[in-house]
Amino acid sequence: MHWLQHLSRHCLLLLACLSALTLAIPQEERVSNFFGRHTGTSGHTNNWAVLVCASRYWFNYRHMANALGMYRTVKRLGIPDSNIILMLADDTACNARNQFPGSVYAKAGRHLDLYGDNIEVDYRGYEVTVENFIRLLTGRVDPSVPRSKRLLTDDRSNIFVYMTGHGGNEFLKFQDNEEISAFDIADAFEQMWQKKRYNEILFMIDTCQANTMYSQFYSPNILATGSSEIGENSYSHENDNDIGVSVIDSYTHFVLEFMEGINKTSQVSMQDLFSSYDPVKIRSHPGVRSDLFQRPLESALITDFFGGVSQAEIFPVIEDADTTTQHIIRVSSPDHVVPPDPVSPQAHNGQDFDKANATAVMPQKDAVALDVRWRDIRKWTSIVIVGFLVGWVSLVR
Amino acid sequence: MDALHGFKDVQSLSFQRPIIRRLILGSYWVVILFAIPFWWRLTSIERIALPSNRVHAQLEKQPVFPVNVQLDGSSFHGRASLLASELNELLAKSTRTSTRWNNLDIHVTLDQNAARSVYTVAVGNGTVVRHPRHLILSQDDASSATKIADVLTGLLAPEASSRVQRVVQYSKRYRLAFTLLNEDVTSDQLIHNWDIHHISPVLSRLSVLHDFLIESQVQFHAPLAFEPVQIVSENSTLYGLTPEDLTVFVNSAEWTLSSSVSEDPVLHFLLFVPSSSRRPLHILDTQGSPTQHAVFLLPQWGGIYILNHLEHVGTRTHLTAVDLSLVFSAFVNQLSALLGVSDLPHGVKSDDPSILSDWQVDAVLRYRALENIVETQQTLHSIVKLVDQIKNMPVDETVRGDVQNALTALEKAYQSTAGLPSTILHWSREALSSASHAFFNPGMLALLYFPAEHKYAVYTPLFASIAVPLVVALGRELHAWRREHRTTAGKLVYHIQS
Amino acid sequence: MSLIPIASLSQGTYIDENALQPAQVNTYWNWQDVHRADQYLYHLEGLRDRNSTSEERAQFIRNELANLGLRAATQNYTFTASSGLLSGVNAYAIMASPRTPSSEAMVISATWRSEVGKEPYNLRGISIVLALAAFLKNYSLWAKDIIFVIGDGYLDGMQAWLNAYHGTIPPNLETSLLEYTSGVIWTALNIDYSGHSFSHLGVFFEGLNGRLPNQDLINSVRLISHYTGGVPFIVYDHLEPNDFPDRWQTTSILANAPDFIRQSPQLQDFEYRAKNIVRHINYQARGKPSGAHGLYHKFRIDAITLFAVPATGPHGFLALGRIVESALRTTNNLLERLHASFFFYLFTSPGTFMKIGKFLPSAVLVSAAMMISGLGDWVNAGWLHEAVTENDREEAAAGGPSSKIQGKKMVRWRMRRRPLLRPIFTVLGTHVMGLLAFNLMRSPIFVENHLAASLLLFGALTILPFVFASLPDRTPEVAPFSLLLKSFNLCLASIVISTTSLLNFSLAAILAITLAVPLMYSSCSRSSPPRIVSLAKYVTYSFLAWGWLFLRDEVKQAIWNWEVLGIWFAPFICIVYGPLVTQAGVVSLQP
Repeated sequence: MHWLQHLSRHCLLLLACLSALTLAIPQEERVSNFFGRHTGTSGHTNNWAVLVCASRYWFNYRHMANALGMYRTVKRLGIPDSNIILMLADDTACNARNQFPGSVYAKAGRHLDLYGDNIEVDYRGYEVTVENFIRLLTGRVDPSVPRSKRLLTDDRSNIFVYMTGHGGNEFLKFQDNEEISAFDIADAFEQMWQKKRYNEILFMIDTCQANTMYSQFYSPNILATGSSEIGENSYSHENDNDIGVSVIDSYTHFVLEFMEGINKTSQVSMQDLFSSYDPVKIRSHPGVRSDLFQRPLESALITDFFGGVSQAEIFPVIEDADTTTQHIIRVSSPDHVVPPDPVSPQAHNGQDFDKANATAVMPQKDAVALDVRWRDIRKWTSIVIVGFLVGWVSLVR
Repeated sequence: MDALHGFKDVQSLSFQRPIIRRLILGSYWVVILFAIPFWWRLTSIERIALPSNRVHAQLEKQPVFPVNVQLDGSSFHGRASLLASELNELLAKSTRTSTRWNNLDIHVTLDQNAARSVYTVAVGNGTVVRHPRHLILSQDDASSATKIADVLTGLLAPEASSRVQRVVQYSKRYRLAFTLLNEDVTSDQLIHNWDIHHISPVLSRLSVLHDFLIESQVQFHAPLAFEPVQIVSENSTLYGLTPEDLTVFVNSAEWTLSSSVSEDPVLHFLLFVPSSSRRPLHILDTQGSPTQHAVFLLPQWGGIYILNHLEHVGTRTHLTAVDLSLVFSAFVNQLSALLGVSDLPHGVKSDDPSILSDWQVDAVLRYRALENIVETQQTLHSIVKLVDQIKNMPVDETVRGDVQNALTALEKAYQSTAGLPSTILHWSREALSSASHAFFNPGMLALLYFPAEHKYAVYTPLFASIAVPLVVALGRELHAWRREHRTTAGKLVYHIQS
Repeated sequence: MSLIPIASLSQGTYIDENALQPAQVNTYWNWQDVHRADQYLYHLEGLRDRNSTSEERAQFIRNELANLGLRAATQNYTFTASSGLLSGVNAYAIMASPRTPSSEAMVISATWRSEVGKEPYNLRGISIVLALAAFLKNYSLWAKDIIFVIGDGYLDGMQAWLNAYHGTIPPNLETSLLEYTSGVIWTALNIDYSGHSFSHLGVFFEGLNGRLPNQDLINSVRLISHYTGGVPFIVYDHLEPNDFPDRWQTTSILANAPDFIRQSPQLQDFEYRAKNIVRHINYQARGKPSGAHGLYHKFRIDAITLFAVPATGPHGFLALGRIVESALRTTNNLLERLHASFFFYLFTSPGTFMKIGKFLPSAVLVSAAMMISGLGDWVNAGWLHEAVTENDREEAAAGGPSSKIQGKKMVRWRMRRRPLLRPIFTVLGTHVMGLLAFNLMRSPIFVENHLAASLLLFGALTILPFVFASLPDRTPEVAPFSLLLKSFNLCLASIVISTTSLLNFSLAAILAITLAVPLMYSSCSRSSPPRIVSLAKYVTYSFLAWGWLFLRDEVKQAIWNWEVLGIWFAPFICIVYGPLVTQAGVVSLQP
């Protein structure tokens, strides 16, 4: 029975992907017309990062090191603390078992203290819950929640969402007592899209069977990557024998290692990052999902998600009255001057976009709908069978 | 012979009498039937119907802003009426083709008694805008309808500059954070005082749009996170910032630029004083040769001014209004750019360049109002769509109230389009804030995803064990009753025959 | 049951608790610390050679611990047992956790005497505990308090200390409450290092009344011993056959068998596993702890004894210190009581074990068989099988299903009365008798004149049940007394076995063997045997039930175990086992 449902699901997905491919090609041009900003550059003006370590306890030291390693990287690449939401489910730095109090290391040699100075943990300990995470993303927070715990993004924000912890097929455990499912995150992202709370999202997750976590996404402009396939574990990278526990997970370790070669003005693309994944070294098969993402991965820069500011305009001093000599400098393509596009393309083209994008997304939705229907059929069949059995037993008696 | 019949007759037990047995069974069923509504009520999610029809109807609507321009008949010497009709045609055409202003309805009249917010056009010596809402055209500009139409379009419906991204999202309140950064006070003179009052005239002009909160600070140690390029020419050494450097100029890791006490958006204005060892610090162009610019703007974030010329300051530690006049005119410019205020069209001057003209303010008011209205419409549409799409999202009374408030405010905004632009803005703002309030209602958090299989897994062990015997017992009881019924009927027949 | 030692029935051990992370730390115990341990050993040897008193020894240990800056104290105790007074002095010290409130603790202990090895004194064990105290206090990463305990005697000192620590002082123990205490103790390591050097590290884990520690603890220490200490880890002091073939040969029971049997790896393995299981059952069935660690289990503390198997080398203080250091780092990681792994298991070899589900059926099947045959007897007792005469025929027709036509002759099953009072009184009476006997055995008179007293007691226990058997009943209308008693007896025994199998499998297995056969065959034939045969049978049963009274040392030890350690074996035998077999004897008296 089990393999059967899987088989059918896979077939449906395959079909859906094929049809999506054939349909998407003619659409591409149209979409890119509507989204001038998506053809080459990201079109964002600010960057945010949400870094979640969902598991607690001393032996999950590595998860905190994962999140702190990412924190250090995004901060180094220019995202200010005010734009980083760091959620740490526990405080290993101050754990009584920590031989190096107040420090967290992600490498066996303990050269770099990730907990050094200037750490701003926004959600700590038991504040890290599924509900708080969803509230943070959707913005449905209590009015009393302070600014540092809010995601104050807009349609010009690129958000980097990183999650780590213990997970499974389409779920991630929070604090060992609750779990968030792939559907919850997908719905939250959809709500963010509807309220124009992001321009693009990079979703990265390091947990067991991580790739299942982004399988349910359906909102546009999301680039997702995870550490391991369905049915596959993500392993820790190394152990520090003085700390006595594993200090970092393999996938995160190699991502961070790649990031060490990046600086604030680097032109390395996401494709380069994804190409650097080595399943042998990572000991799992990292995945990438880019069908929702509107730009080619070669032109999506790492700094579009990890960096701070993407562009600056030179503004003349008003010494002469002539103000029309302003010119723009784009970082990514210095000669390229953005053509005058309509004010707030989303505001005006929201309707059009829906139509244009709907066709591209539709097949996927169809697959989902079919999947749901198939699930319904299975459900009702089983009910009928059980009912029949009960009736039969009672009649026999 | 009790020993022979070790078991009592089943029928003789009091609780096995058919009537008692059926009563017992029936009472179970009664309890279950009574409990079902309670169970239904307690496990259901409160989802109040939203006025989705009204929302959908709203989406169809487009606000129309009627604008009356009155030509001064006397200055146009009789061609006024002809001009007016030509202008009407030209302006209608230009607004129709504009993506931004296609709901602007410009009427050019000669009527003296037109409604309020009338713009007047006359002919004078040069092309100048005057308070309030006067335009004086030069002879040259007034010579043809096309030229007049160009000027009017530039004033009433200014096309967005290419840098639309830099305009911050509308908010009722902004915090302006002015920061004076001394790169390194140990090596140079310290500037610890500055006069930031000259920003006020422009702020008072913009107060119809926004409220401003101002905070300022001086930092004594503001290192850059990178090393500027050193360019040595034969007579001088200067330092350069490449275009890439500009994007990472703000050292967010080490500069604390604003307090984070409120959620209002912050616009930053930095006056950066480079250390003497790095002066002058200029911006380089893409070829790497220095330009004279030292001012730049980060979209949606704020402006930066690099203060290279400190010679006239001498040993003072206080920057006076005179020292800062250039700086603040740059900041004012940047502020208006960030807030979406358009420049006057080419060739049009203002009689008081220090403040913004009514034409400009009106244009931005109309633009922001329109933006808010569209945003509100989309938010309302999103709410309705999401509630429809996510089945376990609770919707309570406050959400509906907010949605209704937003709709009412939208109606009011539509009704007031002919009035003062500030009134439209007021209602559009109300509408947007209600709509956002509804969207961000904390109670609307969708319950966590709970697959159907899990529901069965929870309910089946709870209820199946009770339900199966109850259903089976009911079936058997019905069966027995029917048989009994038939046999008594049979007996009856038999009796009659006998 | 004999299939249990087969290798393929066991499965590999594994660590279930994520927090433990065994053998993942660097250890810093080095030669300097070994030197310190040697110095302590020198002093202790001096104390031993001077025949110093308990008081002197404890004072020495207390002073050394106090010199390290720890909160150290001594504890005097006196046990009153029927065999006499037993007193001694314990020494202990508490090292407070540097960064947490003292709500949790772990214990390292050693006792003055050792009973497993050849050496009577555990001097090296004590030395290493003292040296560890000096060494461990240099670390700031302890999340739990560490308590160092040196118990006097073998088990008594530790028993007194644990009772005092937990405030559960029994009436026969005279001691004061402890001067210093800490939080809840979660794990304990007891060190038994009596020889000069050691080649293997053996683990002893059986506790009081057959309780076992969580398997995670044993598995962690096994890994640590292997990876951190480089010391082979074994169960008890049983060497693995392929480890030291020559040493194995001399101890093997197959030593005199032909070569092809002796060399067969399968047989060797089977013998090794069987040896482990027999040793385990020997400890567990008697409820005897296999070391001082067993006393901790009563307080829900997971504890094991690490026994340094004496050899001429190659390991010494260095390896053991490293292993203990690493083991403490591991238990330090615990966030809650060990709960993830197994509490019921059979260790067939260090790396393999059997789950309760695999070995339990062997005992439960026996008990189920007894229950069914008991119930069968109960049903049989209710019916009488007789031929029907002609005038009964009509009645029989009315009787319906209970009559059966077999050709011309009619056989009828007739219900008869089953008088319950007498069997119940018999059962109760025998158990009360067992209780009285147990109390008698604890009296000083019995202890002093063991032979005479046990003869008298045996005689009384054999003759008294005649009272129950004296009234013969031969009326066909009433079920025979013996059948009813047998049915009661079997059901009761079955219940006892199945209940014990959950608590103490070994005891249940032994009971299944010792009860099943005599009880099932207590009345084997319908034809009544000669009186003398049944009498002989009765006496045999009586010997089975009470014959152990003549084993003087065993009785004394069992009584002492009950009085001092609270081991239920002696009362269980007196009150449950003895009477059950006696009942079977009574059944055999009545044809």
